[in-house]
Amino acid sequence: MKITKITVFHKDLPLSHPYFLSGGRLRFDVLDATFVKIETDEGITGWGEGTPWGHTYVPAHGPGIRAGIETLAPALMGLDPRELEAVEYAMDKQLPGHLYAKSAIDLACWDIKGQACNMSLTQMLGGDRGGGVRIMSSVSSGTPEEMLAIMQSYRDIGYVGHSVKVGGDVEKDIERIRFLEANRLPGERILYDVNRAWSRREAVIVMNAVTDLGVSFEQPCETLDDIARIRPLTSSPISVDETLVTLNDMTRIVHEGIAEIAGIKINRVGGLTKARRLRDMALAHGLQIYVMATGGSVMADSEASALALSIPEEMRLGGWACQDMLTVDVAPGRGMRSQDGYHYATPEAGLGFAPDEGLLGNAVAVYEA
Amino acid sequence: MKIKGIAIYKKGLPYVGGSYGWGAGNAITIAQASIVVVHTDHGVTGCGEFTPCGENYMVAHSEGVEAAARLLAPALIGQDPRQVGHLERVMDHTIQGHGYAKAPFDAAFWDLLGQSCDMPVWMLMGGKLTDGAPMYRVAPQKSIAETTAELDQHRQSGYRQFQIKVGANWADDIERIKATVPLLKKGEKALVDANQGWRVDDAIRVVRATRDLDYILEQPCHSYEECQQVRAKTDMPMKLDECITDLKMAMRIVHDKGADAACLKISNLGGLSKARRIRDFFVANRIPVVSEDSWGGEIATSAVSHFAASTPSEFLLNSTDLHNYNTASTGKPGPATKDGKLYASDAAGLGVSPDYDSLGDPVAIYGDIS
Repeated sequence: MKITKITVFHKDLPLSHPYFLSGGRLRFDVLDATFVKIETDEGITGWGEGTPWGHTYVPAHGPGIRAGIETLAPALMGLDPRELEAVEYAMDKQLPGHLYAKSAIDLACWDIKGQACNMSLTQMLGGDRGGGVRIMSSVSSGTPEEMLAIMQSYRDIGYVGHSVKVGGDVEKDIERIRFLEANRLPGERILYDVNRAWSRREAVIVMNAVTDLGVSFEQPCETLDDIARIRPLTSSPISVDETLVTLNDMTRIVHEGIAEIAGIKINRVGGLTKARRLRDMALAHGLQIYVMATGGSVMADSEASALALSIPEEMRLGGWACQDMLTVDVAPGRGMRSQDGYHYATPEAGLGFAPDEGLLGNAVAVYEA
Repeated sequence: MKIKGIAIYKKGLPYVGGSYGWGAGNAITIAQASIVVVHTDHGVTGCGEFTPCGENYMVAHSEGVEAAARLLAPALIGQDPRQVGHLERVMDHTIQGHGYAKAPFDAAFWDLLGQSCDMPVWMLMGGKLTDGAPMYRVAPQKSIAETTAELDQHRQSGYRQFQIKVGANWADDIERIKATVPLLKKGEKALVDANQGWRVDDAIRVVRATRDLDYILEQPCHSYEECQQVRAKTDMPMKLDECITDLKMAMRIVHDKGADAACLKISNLGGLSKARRIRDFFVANRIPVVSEDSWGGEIATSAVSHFAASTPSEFLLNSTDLHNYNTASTGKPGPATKDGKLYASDAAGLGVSPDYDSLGDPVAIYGDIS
């Protein structure tokens, strides 16, 4: 089987409400999505999505994905898409770094391989480990009451997990956390996501002020160095998210004991081929895992939840359905949809569905062998 | 002064020698230059260039500038280009990372700042601390008689540093080093550059087999950690290059005593503004540096020449006349070279203008470039 054609679609995905990160530091209104269709000489077609969270969140931007594919495409023509690691090697040789630009291609190859061997992504990744993926809401920063109202709106559609964005003023953050914990329902899971906003000092103050609540924090500071320094200064569990990109990062995290939780975003780390290795290293060292796409449509959500489902249930903390925050749906009725706050495995081969091309607009680039 | 428009040009730069091999079997014949021209309401324009040594040399590819420009240009138009530090922050807040794609914008702002106050960039960066940066030449791989003759020619042209390209087959590399290094004369420097091409075990074999020779070992392996594994096994001076991408890595090198010289590729560091900070940090810690870029025509080399000129001479190992490696141009005039040395222009700004006849039509236009 050979890759014969790569078609690239650019689609803006508007958010239903403006979204604020890190105590209002960053605002997002629309996501710039790239959809990649890979065709083969045997008639199988695969799809992958690459959608960064805006262009200010991490070093990843929409035009950069399409520029990366422009550079990668000549090296991909003629390769067998089922040989996922040969494709990975070819991409890493052709374009060092830029992992986020390679993700959609990697995912499309997984889709093709799954269809070729009649296995779902989850089966290819080791199988469904049961229990479904608890979908975390995404609660943007605001007053404690505003944030509770957002949480409630997610509860109303079945959510039992929440990723709550904090990381502004120290006193307000303590107040937000105490208020939301006081209003947490039994069995509900809340992760306090700082998105790098705190200095080391601020992180230590807030995390130590709420130790009685037993809450976990995601990416409290900017760098791995920062988090490594504060790790011994607080007893709250820590998740590393934005600064977990490569297998080398994961090696450092487990070697130095920097975190108890790994936040694996498959688009940031370069697709399922690389994300799977991060999963395995985290599990080998007893880290629990959140898995998300980074952002995007039902396609991105389904790709990420396929990996999440392959994690043993007791080590799987949650996933995300970014689709619930968008005003458009590129594959109506298809893919993984939240059922009472969980994603469950789908039986179809590969990704299991394709988006409606008519909803993606015109192709912005076509590469042919 | 305000930015009113930005134009992006692309130009293929063929290598003067046909094919340039740079380690691990990689070679380029044509380098793809991206040129940024910033137009202002005062009528003056500033320019910058980023040219990778092939798409896969570093985490930097030639499509990246155009892609970044789509997001950067709207954020930059209307700003005062002379506020170089402010615009560095604007760019960093618009897109994270991707320093190589921001480097030509940063250079264009320095160019405009210099023109607006009628000073060369070397003056803005502290003054002429090096008047003529020493350059190196690649030692040929020919018979001893032919190699000696070519080295003599280079000596007569003023060159005292010679680079030996290795990094493909370690066993052949040992022979190459043993054959070439002894041809150098007293006071001359040999640089053995693997361009990240060796595995750790192979690199250790090479340094062990050549331990009685005197040369500077350049970036033997891919990552910083691998290079440190090699460093623990050798007393050969080590120069690091591709793995130096930001101030954090520079701090790590100083803290670990991880290198004896640092190659600063301006685009790899995110542009002149960031490169200057990193250079000053190395110099303050008495580690010599190289002023360089991944590749480039006249515009990129002009930035390299100003960066070299403003580096204290005792801490400037060498620099490169990248523009003389191409048969096509990005700007004019290129920086002067004489007697094996590279000189920065004394004209205002970078002292180079885009060569529009060579560049052709822009590939992207933002705002008003009339």
